[in-house]
Amino acid sequence: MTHVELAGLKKSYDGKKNVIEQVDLQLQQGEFFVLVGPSGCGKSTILRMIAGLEPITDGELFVNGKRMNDAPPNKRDLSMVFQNYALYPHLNVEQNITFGLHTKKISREEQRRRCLEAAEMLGLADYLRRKPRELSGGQRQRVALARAIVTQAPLCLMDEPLSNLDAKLRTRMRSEIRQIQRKLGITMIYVTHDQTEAMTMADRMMILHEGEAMQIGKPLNIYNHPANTFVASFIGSPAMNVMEADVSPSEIGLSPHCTLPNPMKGNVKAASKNVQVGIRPEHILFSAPEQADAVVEVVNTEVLGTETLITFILDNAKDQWIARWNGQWQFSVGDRIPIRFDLDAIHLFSKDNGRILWAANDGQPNQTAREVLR
Amino acid sequence: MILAKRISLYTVLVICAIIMMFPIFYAFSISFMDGGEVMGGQLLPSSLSLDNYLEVFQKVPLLTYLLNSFVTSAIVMIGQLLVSSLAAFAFVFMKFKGRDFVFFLFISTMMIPWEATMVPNFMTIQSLGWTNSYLGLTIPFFALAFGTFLLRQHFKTIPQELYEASQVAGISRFRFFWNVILPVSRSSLITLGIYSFLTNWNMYLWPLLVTNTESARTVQIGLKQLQTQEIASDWGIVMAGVVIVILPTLLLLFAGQKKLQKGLTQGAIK
Repeated sequence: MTHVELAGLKKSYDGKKNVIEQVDLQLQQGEFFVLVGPSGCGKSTILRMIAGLEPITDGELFVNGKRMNDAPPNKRDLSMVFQNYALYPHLNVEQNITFGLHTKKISREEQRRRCLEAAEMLGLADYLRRKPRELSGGQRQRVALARAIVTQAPLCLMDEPLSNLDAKLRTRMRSEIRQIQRKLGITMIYVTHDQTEAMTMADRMMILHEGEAMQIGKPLNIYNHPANTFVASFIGSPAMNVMEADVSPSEIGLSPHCTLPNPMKGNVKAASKNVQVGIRPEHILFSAPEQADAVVEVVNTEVLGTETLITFILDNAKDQWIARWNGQWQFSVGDRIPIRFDLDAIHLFSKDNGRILWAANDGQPNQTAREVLR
Repeated sequence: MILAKRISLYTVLVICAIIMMFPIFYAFSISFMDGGEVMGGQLLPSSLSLDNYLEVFQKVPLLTYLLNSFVTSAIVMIGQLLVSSLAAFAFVFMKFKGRDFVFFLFISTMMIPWEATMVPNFMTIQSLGWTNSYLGLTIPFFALAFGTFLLRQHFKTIPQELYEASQVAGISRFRFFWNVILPVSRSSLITLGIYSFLTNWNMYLWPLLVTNTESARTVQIGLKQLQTQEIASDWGIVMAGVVIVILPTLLLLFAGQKKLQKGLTQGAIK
């Protein structure tokens, strides 16, 4: 069942330039949806428009099929978790969690029961009498989460809730939030700039860039079938290698000494377009010298223990490529090593507008990739 | 070297403190002297007699004056706190066209001296028939640009997210103001409260204008009255009155000094 629907949502502050350009989106009941993009891309603005904290310039917002453009925030039946947690500094944890519940005509006993339940779930039971300033960052984050849970609102909005935590805690909270969301079956809209969070948490996600939706879909589908060069380089860490190439109907020339067969040769029209080649670091492989596509010069290696990131150049020193190999590889700077490109995992993008022209896996962008907006 | 510097610094400070404190000390000391001792130019009383204090309460209705001053100061303090905090709340948390312009207009009234508006204010009060009443003594002071400014600066340090969170929770605007903003800004409110209480306690010109009966006068008028009546005869009684009048001021300052300092500098630093 569709829970939240955005139809042609637009936002403009000065009436001339749109900071949000035509966002169409349908969220299912119980879905964990992530809005992800670099800072300033408008993801928080979209969230605030859904919450009712920011007026909608154009387009429509439906919640459970009802038009909600002009409803005040408390009539939209949602809860929200803010980046800085927005805890009331003069109230203790319990008062913070139950703050505002009386407006929903919930009895004191019921408030207390819900508060204890949420506190139990989040491990806050021992801290109910403390003030927010006496809590650590992670505990404050949980209080904010508990406050959202006790309202029992079917829709929860989160605006970068983990960005103030250290890396270890973030990883743990990531999985906790996901588990709670599943357990309670609430629909979640989650804003983040961290593509790892998006990849690991989302049922589906939308990548935003300068107020425009770049791609909507399941994390793995987006990873495997990016709709354009922006998505390709934003999702995945380290980013996909996207390099310009000289293309002829039969070949793609990455450098004078490295050419690959042109996989688009069936499609003559597309085959002769200006292209950019995209290949993920894990699809550049170490090779036996006789099978190598190229012999490259290592400029840096980062050994992470389970894997090694190798930065190398072909001929043009400006274009640095990254390869990711399993295991621990010790190379010195300047070493020349033979590599091979996995042709089954190659992407070709238009040089003019960055859109995908051809992806190797099945020759054509598949169904999910076509869910893509642009 | 450091010691010499410190000694000279403290010498200067002590001298300044003596110069500042001498009149108050002398007034305190005179309040225990009889007429002859004052005329003799003694610095310290020969005996600690409380006769002057008893007499001052008999000569003028000082208790009524004290009560009047206390009540008007308290009403003005509460009025100013309410009006200033509500105005500051609107200037920080409500969005409307021309908000900043209105605020600067508001602030610019600080440049107009109070004395300049005294005549129209007096005529208004007179035609409302509020002379010789608490209404006339208090209501003209409820709106205070300085107080609004002070509280606005403090409210601006409160994260907007608190307001948004309460909107999502469905808390009404007034409830948010009352249950969140006021408790969070306690120190600024105390500062402003002390400031407005003292300002009003020490007010002289306005009470002189709008009161002319003994039952409505405030202490500062009472002191002047004492001086006119008793001039040349008994300074001891006048000074006893003065000491009684400055006592509440001193007590309030001692009690609230930390808060006062904190509040006055808070807005400036953040």
